[in-house]
Formats: sequence, structure tokens, C-alpha cells
Amino acid sequence: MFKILFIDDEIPILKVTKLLLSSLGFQAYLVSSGKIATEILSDKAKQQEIKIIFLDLTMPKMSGLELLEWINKNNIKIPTILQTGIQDKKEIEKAKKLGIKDYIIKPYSKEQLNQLIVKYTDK
Amino acid sequence: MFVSIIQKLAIEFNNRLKKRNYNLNEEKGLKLSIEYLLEECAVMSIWYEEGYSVDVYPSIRNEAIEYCFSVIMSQHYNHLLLPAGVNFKKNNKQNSLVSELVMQKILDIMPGHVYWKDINGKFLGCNKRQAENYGFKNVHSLIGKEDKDFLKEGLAKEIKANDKKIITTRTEQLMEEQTSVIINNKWVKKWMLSHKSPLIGESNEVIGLVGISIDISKQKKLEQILLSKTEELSLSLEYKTNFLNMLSHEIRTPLHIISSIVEEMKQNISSFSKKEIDNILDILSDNNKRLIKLLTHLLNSANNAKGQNTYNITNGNIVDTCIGCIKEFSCLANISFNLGEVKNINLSYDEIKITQVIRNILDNAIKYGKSDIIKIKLEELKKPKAIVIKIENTGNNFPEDEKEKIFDNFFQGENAKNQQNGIGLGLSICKEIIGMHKGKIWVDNIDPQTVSVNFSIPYV
Repeated sequence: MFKILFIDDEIPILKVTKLLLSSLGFQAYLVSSGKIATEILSDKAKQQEIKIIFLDLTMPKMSGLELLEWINKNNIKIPTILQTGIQDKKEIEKAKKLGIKDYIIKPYSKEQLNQLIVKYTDK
Repeated sequence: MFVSIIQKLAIEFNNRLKKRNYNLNEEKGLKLSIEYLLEECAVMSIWYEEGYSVDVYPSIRNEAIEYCFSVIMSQHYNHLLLPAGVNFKKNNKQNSLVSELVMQKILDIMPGHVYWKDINGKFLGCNKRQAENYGFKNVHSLIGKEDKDFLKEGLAKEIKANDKKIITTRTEQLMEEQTSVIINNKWVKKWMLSHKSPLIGESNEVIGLVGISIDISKQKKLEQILLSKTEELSLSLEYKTNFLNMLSHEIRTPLHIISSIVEEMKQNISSFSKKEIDNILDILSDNNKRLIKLLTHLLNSANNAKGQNTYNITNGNIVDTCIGCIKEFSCLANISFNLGEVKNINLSYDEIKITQVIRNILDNAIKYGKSDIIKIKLEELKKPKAIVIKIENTGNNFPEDEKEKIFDNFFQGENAKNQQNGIGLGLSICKEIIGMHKGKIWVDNIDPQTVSVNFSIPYV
């Protein structure tokens, strides 16, 4: 069973996502900062488990864009999806240039989340 | 006899003015004509000395009148009419002298400054305007002088460097340069748009340069105003884009939480335990409060902008207000309170609004601070008589250029960027409220790791 890496600095978002993903039958690493995400991805065993990454754009210390830069720099080829409350085309374009496969704007439904997971993990 | 010639010329000139339908009464027209023609005595006397008699005059009279006409028109009516019939063919000497005077006159009436210099920067000639602007009574007084003889060293050096470029590269150039001119006996800095070309001698060598300059100080000032306004506008646009992004984030995040929970509970409510439901209800309640707080902030800000906030100023105890806020935030931070040497703690203020100021500042200190230690200190100001409330926390210092901007609507400083829950309205609301109390609000960097947001409320 693969795992999903979900990054958002809002703890309630992580709690809700945990609820949604478990009801869809997925397992996930739910983390509240870019830094923790880099620690997980630096662990080869954990990295191999992860088949899709969801990340937020607006986060303190390490923003979503900075995390994407780190992912590229470390040559990590896991599909990344932006999940954000910011609907600014410029910001989304920046993320696209940094390699995101897709994006989803909050509030999104459990079904939309499921469709993206299915699409990018060949589940 | 000479005066009578001029008189005759003046009358004829005036008739021509009338024919050309210029709105000029006879007396004024005649006066102008005579005045100008008397000024032209030098030209007339050359003709006279060269042996022209009154009888000869009529043959060149037309040209002379045409010339005078054009010059007067340009000086008094802003019409530039070229001297159409200046065509003297009597002899070469006279021709050359008159042409030189005519040329000088043309240069003098030209708008702008005309000058020519030798290879060392010495003025060889110029128009009247150029000489007068540098404080010389006539053109001859400027000839032989260099810019450094009357301009400040720095300016003269800059001009010399520009001139050197023209001479060494043998290419003409259009440039904006600064100079000083005399206005009402005072040197005033001016911006000139100068076109400078090399003067080439008979053996194809550069022998100097010729320049034409126009005063563009007014345009330059407007340009600077325009530039600063453009900068202000683009900054304001940036603030607003950031604001909309943060607003979108601030609304969508709690909405996402609430809608996801509601949907999930609707589908699977039976699978949740009592403990899980309590936990979920807490999350729902927190996010509901978050949306209400955001809405209140936005409405306050909109009311501030419209000047529609009403203030209820009463006598109150500022210590009680501070303690109330400390209690409210006690579960989020470790807040200490120091009354210092303040004796009179009774002030006239709107308690609800000042509470809002303290809340906003504490909220920021918790959000952007590096630890949960916050100190509230009170101080008494003697001039003007006021109480200062200082709220200190550990955090990155405010950059100097942000110290005032952080109180602008939608502004988010470097420290606040990428942080959650901020839309850049909190401190602008505080500024508005403190302003209504006739107090001041400002920030200080106490040491490299400590910052302080302070505000004063005057004793009435």
C-alpha cells in the first residue's frame, strides 16, 4: 500500500484530510511544515512508499514554492499536486514552472481529492 | 534727420500691423515700433555711415521693416516670423556686419540657450538668454569664460565631462544635464535638455562644440512626481494583490475545513465516536470563529475607510483594559505586565476600540514572534502628557523602510510574508483608532532579537 505525503501548516486541515483519506482507504504522512516534509523525503525507505505529494502554497518558514524547489534540487520524481486557498494565476503558474502535475483549490470535495490520487498513482 | 527716418519707418510699420489685422491700437503699435526701431539704431547707423541717403532708404526699407516686424511679433506676440526679406546686397562689408547682427538677434529671440565653446571649454559665443542666465549683462561678458568660472565645481565638472565626450567621440548627443542659473539674484539648479554637436574646423579637426539647451526643470519635476506616483500605485497594487490572496486563503481554508467535515459527517455519522464528534465540533467552532473574526476585521476596516466608525470616549482605567486582554490571551502566550512608575492610570478613551488595538498587537506578536514571551509595559510621557503602552516580543527586527509602512492597509512586511492568518489590516486599524484618540503608534527595534509596538493615549 503506497502512502500520500500531505503538507499544510493548518492543523485543522491536516485533521480533516486524515478523516477524508482514511475514509477513502488511503494512508498518509500528514505534516505541518515544508521542513518536516524534506526530512521524510530524505529518508529513502519512506520516499519509496510515497506515490503522490499534496502541498500548500502559503506556509511559514518554507513556502510551497520553496519546497518544490527543494524537491527538484533533490531529483525527486513523485507527482506533486498543489492544494491551496490562493486562486492567483501568477502563483499557480510559478508552481507549474516548478513541476506540479495539477492543482486543486480549497474548498474541494473528497471526490475531487480521490480523482487526483487515482489519476496520478494509477491506483 | 535720422529720427525722422525712424518715425517714417515706424508709421509704415504700424500700417502693416493694421493690414495684418493684429489687434493693436494705434498709439501702442506706434510706441512699440518706435521703441524697437530705436533699439535698432545700431543697424540703421551702419547703413547711414555706409553712405545710404534718405533716397536710398526706400530700396531697402521693405526688408528692414519686414525684419523689424518679425522680431517685434516674436517678442511681443509669441509669433515666430522669420525675417523674410533680409537680403542686403549693397556691399560685402556691410552685408557681413548686418548678417552677424541679424544672426545674433535671431539667436537672442530663440527659445532656449545657444552657445558655442572652443576645445578647452571657453565660450566663443552665445545668445543673450544664455549670458543672462549665468548673471552676465551681455553676450560679450561671457565670451572667453569657462563654466568653472561661475558654476559650482561639481556642476562645472559634470558639464565639462559631457562636453569632452562630444569632442573626443566627434558625435552629436542629446542629453539631460544639470546646471545653475541666476533667478532674482540667486543661483537656482535647473535641468536642461541639451543637444551638443562637435564644431569641425577647415582641416576636419574638432575645434569645439555648439550646444542648444532648453530648460526642462518643470517637466523633470513632473516626471519625478509621476515616477513616485507610479511607484506608489504599483506598491498599492501589490499590497492589494497580496491582500486578495491572503483573503482568499483566509476564507477558503476554514470553509474547506467546515464543508469537508459536514460532508463527511453527513455520509458516515454513525462511524464517529462521541469523543470524535466532540473533537470535530471543536474544529467546526474554531473555524466558524475564525471566519467571524475575519469578517469583523474587514467591516472595521471598511468603516474606517468611510470614516463611519463611532467612538464612545469615557473615563477608564488603562491597567484594567490591559489585564483584560492579557487574560484573554493567557492560554496562547506568557504575557507579563509592568506598570513602571505610572501614577495616573485614568484616561479618556474608547475601551472597546483600545482593547481591539491591544488584541491586534498581541495577535501579531503571537503570530510572528519567535517565542511565546510577551511583555506589556506602561510609561508616562511628560510632553505631551500621555501614557505609552509598549508591547514587546522576541522576533525579527523591523527593516527601517518598513517601520511606517506596516501601518498601511494591506501591507505585509518581510517578516509576515508566507505566514498564515495575516491579511495586513490589523495594524492599519490600530493606527486609525489611535489617531482618533489623538495619540501615536510606532514600532521600535529594542535589540537584534526584540521588537516593540508602542502607542500613546494623551491625558485630556
